[in-house]
Amino acid sequence: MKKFWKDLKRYKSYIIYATKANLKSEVAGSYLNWLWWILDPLLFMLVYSFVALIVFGKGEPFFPIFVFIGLNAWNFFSKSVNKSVKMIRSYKGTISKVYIPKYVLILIVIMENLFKMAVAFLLVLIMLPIYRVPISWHVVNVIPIFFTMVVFTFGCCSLMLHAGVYVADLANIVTVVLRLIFYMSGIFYSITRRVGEPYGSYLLNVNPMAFIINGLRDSLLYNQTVNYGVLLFFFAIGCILSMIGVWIIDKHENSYVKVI
Amino acid sequence: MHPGGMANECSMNRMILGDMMNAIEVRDLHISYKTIKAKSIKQTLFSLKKSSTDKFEAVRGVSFNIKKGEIVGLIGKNGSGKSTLLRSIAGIFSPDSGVIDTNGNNVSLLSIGVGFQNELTGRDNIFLSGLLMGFSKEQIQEKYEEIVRFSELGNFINAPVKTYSSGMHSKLAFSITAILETDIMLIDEILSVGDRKFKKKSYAKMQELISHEDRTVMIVSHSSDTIKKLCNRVIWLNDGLIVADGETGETLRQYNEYMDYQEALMAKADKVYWYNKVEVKKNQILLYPTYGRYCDDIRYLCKYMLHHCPDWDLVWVKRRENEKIGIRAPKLKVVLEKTPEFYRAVYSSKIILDDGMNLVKEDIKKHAEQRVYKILKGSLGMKDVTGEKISQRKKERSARLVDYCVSNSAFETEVYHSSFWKDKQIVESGHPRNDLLFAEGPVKRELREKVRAYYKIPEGNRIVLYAPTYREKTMEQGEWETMDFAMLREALSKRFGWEVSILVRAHRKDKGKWAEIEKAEGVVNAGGYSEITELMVAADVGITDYSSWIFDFLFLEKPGFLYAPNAKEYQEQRGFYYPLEETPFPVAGDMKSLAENIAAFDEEAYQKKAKGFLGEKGCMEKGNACEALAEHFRQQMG
Repeated sequence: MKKFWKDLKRYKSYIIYATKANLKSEVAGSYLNWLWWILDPLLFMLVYSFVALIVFGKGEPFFPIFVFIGLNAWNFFSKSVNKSVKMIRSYKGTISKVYIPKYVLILIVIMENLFKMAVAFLLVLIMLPIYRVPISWHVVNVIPIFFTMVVFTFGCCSLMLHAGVYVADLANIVTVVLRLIFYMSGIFYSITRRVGEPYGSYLLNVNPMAFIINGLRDSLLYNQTVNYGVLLFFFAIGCILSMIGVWIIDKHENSYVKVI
Repeated sequence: MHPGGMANECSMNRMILGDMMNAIEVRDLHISYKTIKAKSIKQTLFSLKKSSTDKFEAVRGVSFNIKKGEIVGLIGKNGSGKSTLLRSIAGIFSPDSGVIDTNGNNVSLLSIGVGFQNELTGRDNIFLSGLLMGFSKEQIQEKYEEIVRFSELGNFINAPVKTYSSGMHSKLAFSITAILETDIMLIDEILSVGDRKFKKKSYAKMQELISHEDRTVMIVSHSSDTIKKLCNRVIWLNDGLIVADGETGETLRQYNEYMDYQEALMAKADKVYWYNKVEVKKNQILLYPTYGRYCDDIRYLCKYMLHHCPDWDLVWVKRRENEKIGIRAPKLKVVLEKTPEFYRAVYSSKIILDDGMNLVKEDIKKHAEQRVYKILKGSLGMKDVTGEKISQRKKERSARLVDYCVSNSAFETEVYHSSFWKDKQIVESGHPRNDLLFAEGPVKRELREKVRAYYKIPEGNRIVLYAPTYREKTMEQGEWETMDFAMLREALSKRFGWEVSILVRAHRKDKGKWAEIEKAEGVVNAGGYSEITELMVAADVGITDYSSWIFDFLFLEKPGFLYAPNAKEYQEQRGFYYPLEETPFPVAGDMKSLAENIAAFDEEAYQKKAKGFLGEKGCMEKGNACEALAEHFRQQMG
């Protein structure tokens, strides 16, 4: 772990520069450039709103924002994990030339997606007054929730990065599993209202993403507090996953080049 | 930048290893590739019971110290662990056991292939690479302009790397490592990057870099020249172990010796393999000429056989990939010397034709039913055929291999018998190349027109062919420099009343003189024409020093002259069978007497002397050599 913090310090400027460069290249490559970071969840929001409100005629209060928050948080998580699985292979050129702690690569991806999510959440800030959402002090809860989400995501990513090196077609499985979790995280429906007990509670207390997304909505939209005990529990889970991930990567990372 | 485990180990070992003057310390290094190939999920699930533990040890216990400022070459055949070693010193591979200590120096590895992120621009990649090499953003910023200038990328630096050509890729990679100077540079086969200009530049830069007294450099290269020029110490790795470690010259010598030995073993194995594998094909003939463009005997014979013997398989041996053989026939199979195809052809041909010492370059074993024919180039020439430098080994091999010697005269038969082909059977068919000289009038006229058109000889001009022979280095100051073409022209004009065009043909080994010939006034360089026989047919007068073509020229009954200023030396060196004066040609030792000889030329006396000469030498050339030889082959085929 000591090495982790040391590396973090040493590679800080690399992480920052790489994040910026990646974001820049993504922007430079498309016509509407950074607008896509907002447009993408926005368009999906419209799709889900159409399906829920018009096809099924069921919705939640402030449904568009409800879906938008869920999609943003989910995109952050799933994109980071997806990229981590293929990470070593896509950085093959670099890592066969020079030593780089491999979790640094995860941090770059997380920083990137975090930035994109932040841009998209600016839209949430605009939408809140438009939809006349009452704001309360519960809003501050988003900070520990986001933090937990980042730590948990990092943990998942580090394990996936390692496994992705040795199992060549892991990416396919991960796509399917992520889709399953997507449906179990209540992105476009409310778990508390739509899933009958006791399954709803199970989902929220077992699936960290479901809990996190639910917590974000409660804090931003519905003036509800979060269950701090569960939050702390998931934070601890995230920390443990991260530590295991870092430990495994550290132990094996210099064999990666031999495998790919 | 080494991973933590190793760094700790290193600091613990620092006390043992001591010496801070060492830039790189390697102790008992083992690196293996366990064949932990990436598996698919299916394999992972169904192969749990036994994980295959195939282990390939690339480096098997290597120790050395490299002092600060040393330039060390790393040599060894492919797969001997060189690149693996460099990579592990760069911290990319962790060793299975052993210690690598770079004493806190920053290390850069420069190797083929690119360490770039393709989506990002060249600019971003410069910064990212620099940061990874341990430089700060400010340090990189400072050198940025220089890197871009050195890489010659210009505005491309702001384009994504994926749009670069492979040359641009490597130029950029080289520039980054070269300009951002690290303490330890590990160079893996990359000293030849980009076009010629950049290659030169990068080589110079590299020399400048590594000559810095604080910089430690390890170079992997397969080029002995590079290693010799750059390194003051060489480590030779073989199969993951150090074989030798020491002064450049000596280590390289040992290494080259070993590689030559290995190569010889391989070649021998090849030969034995094909010898045992193939059977002799009754109708296959191998044509093994000395040099693609000057082998009239074999070429004319080949053309004859292609035309008259359609059921024979002809195989032609080339020396070089790009050699022109001057025959275009789909039926003719062409093989490159010393390739597996070549050995297969050598051992499967019933008949082998050699116009030099070609077949004996290697120790080839002959099947009992194979027949080897030897054709001399000289025929009636007075030069001693054994006077050329031929090693004793080649002579022995040739004596063992050759079955038949092709001769055109009692004299040539005697030449064979007085040499190392003492007891060989003689085929007195004459020389295939000379058939043309006996050809019918219309054939010759056509050839004459061909040559005249080829060299754009003005209407009404006569042709003089001047073709001296090759001289070894000690006799380089030949008559070529003393030949006065204006004087020659005047003399010929006075005697015969001709305007002449002079075709000059240097020996094939004298290609270096072509430029000089082309510069001379009123002279045409005929060195590029493939068949001298055709030039002979077209010529009206022939001049040489000792070259044997002038004796073939006799069959055309045209005037020939010898111009041999250094006859004495040449005779001493090479040896003549008979003195120059015995030939029918007027002999001149300088320009003045050449002019006099031309002025005093007596056609009748010359022809008489020529007939006498041919008779005396027992010449039996009749212009049907191809036919006679082919008939001989047919009998052998049974």
